Amino acid sequence: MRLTIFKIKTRLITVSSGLLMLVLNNCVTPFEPERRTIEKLLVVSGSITDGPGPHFISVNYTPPFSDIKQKSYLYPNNARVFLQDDTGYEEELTPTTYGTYKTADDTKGVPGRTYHVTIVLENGTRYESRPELMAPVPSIDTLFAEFKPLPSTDVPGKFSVYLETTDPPETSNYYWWNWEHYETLPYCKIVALPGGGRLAYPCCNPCWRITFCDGCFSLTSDYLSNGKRLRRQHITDVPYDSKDPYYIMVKQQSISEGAFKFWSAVYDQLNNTGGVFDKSPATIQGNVFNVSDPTEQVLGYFMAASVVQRYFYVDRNVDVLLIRRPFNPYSIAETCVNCENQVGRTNTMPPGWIN
Amino acid sequence: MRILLFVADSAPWKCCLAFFMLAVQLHGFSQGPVLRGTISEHDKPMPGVTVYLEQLNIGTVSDSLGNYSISIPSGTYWTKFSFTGYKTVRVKLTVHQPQHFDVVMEEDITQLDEMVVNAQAEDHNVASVDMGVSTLTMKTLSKMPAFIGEVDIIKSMLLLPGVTTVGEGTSGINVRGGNSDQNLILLDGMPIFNPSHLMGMFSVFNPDMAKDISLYRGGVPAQFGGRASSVLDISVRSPSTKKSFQGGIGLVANRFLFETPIIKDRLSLIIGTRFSFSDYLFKVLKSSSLRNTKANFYDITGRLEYLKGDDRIYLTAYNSTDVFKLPSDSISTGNIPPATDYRWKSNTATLGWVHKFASNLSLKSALVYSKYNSVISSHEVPNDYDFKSNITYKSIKSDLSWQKNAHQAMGGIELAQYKVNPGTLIPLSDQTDLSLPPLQPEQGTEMAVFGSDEVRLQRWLTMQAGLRYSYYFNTGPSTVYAYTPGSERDIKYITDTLQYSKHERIASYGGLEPRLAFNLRLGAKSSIKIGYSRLRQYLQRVTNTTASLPTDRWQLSNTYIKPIISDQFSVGYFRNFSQNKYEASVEVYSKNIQNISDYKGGADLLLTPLPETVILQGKGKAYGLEFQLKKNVGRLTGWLNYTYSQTMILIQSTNPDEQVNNGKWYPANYNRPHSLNLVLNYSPNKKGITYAANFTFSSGRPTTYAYNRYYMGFLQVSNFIDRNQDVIPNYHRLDLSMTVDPMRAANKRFHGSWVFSLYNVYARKNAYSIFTKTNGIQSAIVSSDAYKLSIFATIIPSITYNFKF
Repeated sequence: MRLTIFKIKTRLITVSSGLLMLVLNNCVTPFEPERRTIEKLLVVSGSITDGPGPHFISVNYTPPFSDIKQKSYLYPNNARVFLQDDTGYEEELTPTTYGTYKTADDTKGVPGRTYHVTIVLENGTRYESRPELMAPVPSIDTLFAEFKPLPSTDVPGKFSVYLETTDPPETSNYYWWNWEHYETLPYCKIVALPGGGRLAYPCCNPCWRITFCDGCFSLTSDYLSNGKRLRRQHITDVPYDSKDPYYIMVKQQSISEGAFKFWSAVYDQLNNTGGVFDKSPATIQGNVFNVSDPTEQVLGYFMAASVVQRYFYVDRNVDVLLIRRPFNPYSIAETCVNCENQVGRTNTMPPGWIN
Repeated sequence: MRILLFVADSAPWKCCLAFFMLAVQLHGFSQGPVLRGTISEHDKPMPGVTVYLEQLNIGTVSDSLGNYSISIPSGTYWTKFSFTGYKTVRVKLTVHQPQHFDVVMEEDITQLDEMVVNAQAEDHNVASVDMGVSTLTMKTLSKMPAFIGEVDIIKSMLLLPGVTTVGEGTSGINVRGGNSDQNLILLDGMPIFNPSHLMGMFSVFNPDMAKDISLYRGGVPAQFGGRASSVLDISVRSPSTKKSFQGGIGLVANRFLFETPIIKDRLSLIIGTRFSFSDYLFKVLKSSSLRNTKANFYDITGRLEYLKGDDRIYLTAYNSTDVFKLPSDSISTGNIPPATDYRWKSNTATLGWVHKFASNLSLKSALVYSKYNSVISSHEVPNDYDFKSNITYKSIKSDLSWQKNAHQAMGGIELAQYKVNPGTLIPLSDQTDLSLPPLQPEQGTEMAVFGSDEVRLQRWLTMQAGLRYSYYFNTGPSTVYAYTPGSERDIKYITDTLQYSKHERIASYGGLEPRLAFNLRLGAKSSIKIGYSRLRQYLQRVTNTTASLPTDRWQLSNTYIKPIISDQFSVGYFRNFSQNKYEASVEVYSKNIQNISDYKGGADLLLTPLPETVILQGKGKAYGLEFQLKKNVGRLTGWLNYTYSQTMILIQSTNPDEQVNNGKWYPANYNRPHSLNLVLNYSPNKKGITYAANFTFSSGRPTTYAYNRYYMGFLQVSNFIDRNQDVIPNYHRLDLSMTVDPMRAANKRFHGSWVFSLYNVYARKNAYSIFTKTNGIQSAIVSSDAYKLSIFATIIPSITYNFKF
């Protein structure tokens, strides 16, 4: 019985503040406030799911405010991270890079179990997350898209992607959605030539570009529609900038009430327009605490989630004029470059891919 | 109805005796003969008229029935009767024994020279016991530069000392450290729950229908209660006995007013309306998605008045309606479903009866009804719904006022009922998937007995002693949840469910509310005033947005939500210069507020069935200094005021989740320590041209900045730590206006005038807020920075035409 209802509240707040802003000749200008310098804080983030491993937990410190763009990750050295469940299972995670730790490849969460993490710093300070129940998640019943024209010549429309699923009869189910878009990547490396123009190196093996957006999640609770089919859950909007089908992989996760509160607060923050009807910014409470000093502020959230995913091709062949912008051709290199798995790129064919 | 009859049937003297016991009986000063009479305008009594005896340098003001009485030494005196907007009557009166003198006042349309700000005695500033009270006449307001040409009663209050707002374009005012729901806004005695049109850009009161406006920031008289901070009392104009039609055409709203007698000298009617179809304002926008926005409002105020002998019966009715609709597909960001509209409406009515038993004794009784409705609608299947909420107020009030020699006494009773329906979600079609059990309605009853006496104890000492006793209880049908003692109030810790049946009493609160004021006269030109008042508030608005929304939820006091209690002490020094041409005052106040509300961080309040789990209550303190210099007569009039104030909140709990700012004091959202207002009005000659200027400055309101940021995956999250520890930049603005109001020729009925105004003359981009925008759209490229939002970031010219015939 979580009481946040995004469908109503968010709409009300954002629409009205947006309106006030837009109507009244407003302006938004960059501003650099004077900020106090505060001590670095520990940040714990990551999750365990019932999907294939490895699962990652990262343990970092907050960077100085001015330094965030450099992403100069600060992290405690030689920390130990343990994953435990309510059956007595315990696994120590292996450090990778930049304060990130991973489970074994075959570690897989089990819906119905409760998980928590323990972090022990080099100096012996011990942090624990509150236990998180991995609730089962229903499957995605369907995905569909609807075309909506836009008043722009470059992108004369968009396809709103919707999801439908069936909420189980129990109350207090919380859903979190995210998506990834895949497209084939013909060139694995592009360099600018000294005399102008660009040189593109074809990929030696099949390669896909992954477009994803960590801030584009959506979430809801079943408070207003318990036990019913959740219809027309808006997932994202796909631009009408090409007639080619658009591949999208949608991930649906069941999350705990605590995680829902956490991500709701993050959502509020992302959607804050500074308007009069926005909520005052608030501290986002995480679920990790210092065992010997619970007053220490620890940021971030450890989630346990059951996850299902489903792919969908958005058919973008609609009868609306599309003017393609002229494209500056590349010079093609004679050698190829290998496609490696990295952030935003994969050489593994996504499920259901049609060439 | 029973109470009204009781008071009317039983001898009024009994009531009189009752409040005598409340008023402290003390000896008055030596008495001479009494001069008394009635002041009227076309048979209609005129309250608030100044009666001033020039040689004696003393005066009084007529009461709500137009009666005045003053004890004076025997002799012959020039006596002046004056009221803003009316021709001054100056007569020589010889008084050796009790004397009756009635006056008929006449309206003066082109009166400019005698433009005074206060419709009160010239030395009212020094002589009265009033503290923290400002009265503005519509004549003053109509000459002030107005935003988009709309004279706005509530926005003009911002130019008074001690009054601030969270930002322009928002409704609501903050008075001496009080939240905007701590102001009792009365239109002819009817409480108005939402004073805003167009989401807060304009206030809902038709300026043509208002007679005058009093704002009590301190020294709230005993007949008012139910809000912890201030009373804004707007009185509706009585219909004149002549048929007339007037109106105004402006950029946003058009106004029409009609008044006519129905039965000569008996029954008359006045109706004023204001309507706006501001859709065209949106048509000029570049964004096609907003071009079809609908934003319309209207309000209509009517007053029917019946006069016969010593009785006056009136019926005032008021309706204000707003429709605010966004076109479908209006905002392209994915999470905002389109096709949502907002409708809000106030319907109020009051039936009053004033009976005069004697020229110095009168009884005023009124029945009041006020209902506020708001609806949020979504038309997007399958999430289509109406979310309806409303609040209903019914009251009966009766008070007796009596004047004799050095006493001005008043006493009465009030009984009010509140019904709050926090919300019901109504599916709009068979396809709707959403459902929500209706949020539990709340019922409450507030009763009050009050009395006060203003008595001149010595020639140099006047006391106004008032006392109000209020008692409140909420009743079933209701379900009250019990929580584990000592734990956080959360759904997880509910231990028991208590059912209350209809009319069953659940929780009750109450107590005395003393209102005390003294005036120590330090000679003819100066005085010191001291005041103390306590106010209790049983109904509050629940919102954690910076500005209030028309759809905000109201909450009655109950088992968990305690009433707000505020205690205010104030001391002031008042001095007039150059034969009362200049008035100066310095007031300091200190206020303690109990049970001030704030909310758990990020809580959602609109739809929670358990508001007690998100509302936190604590202590508030406010203190300040207000300085004001005013010039009331001459070609140049106006005022300058400066206020220094602080408002802090403390919310402590043994439970860390129920604390704000780790249990330390923090400034309230509306805390703006320095504010300065300059209002000037210049009429160079009798040709009817008036120039006016306002300048306003206030320090920036508190805000919360993020001091560090962290990553959740690739998503950047800002960490806001302590609430309201920083401030946004200062606010200042200059407005100018010119009114062309040519003298009305004696033989012409038609009279027209123009108002040209410029808002924000130097186009300052004042900060409304500073906010942190986290850009999570592109995974690898992240940026996050602070931005300044300005609302009226440019100069806004406007023109209004007013006419009368």
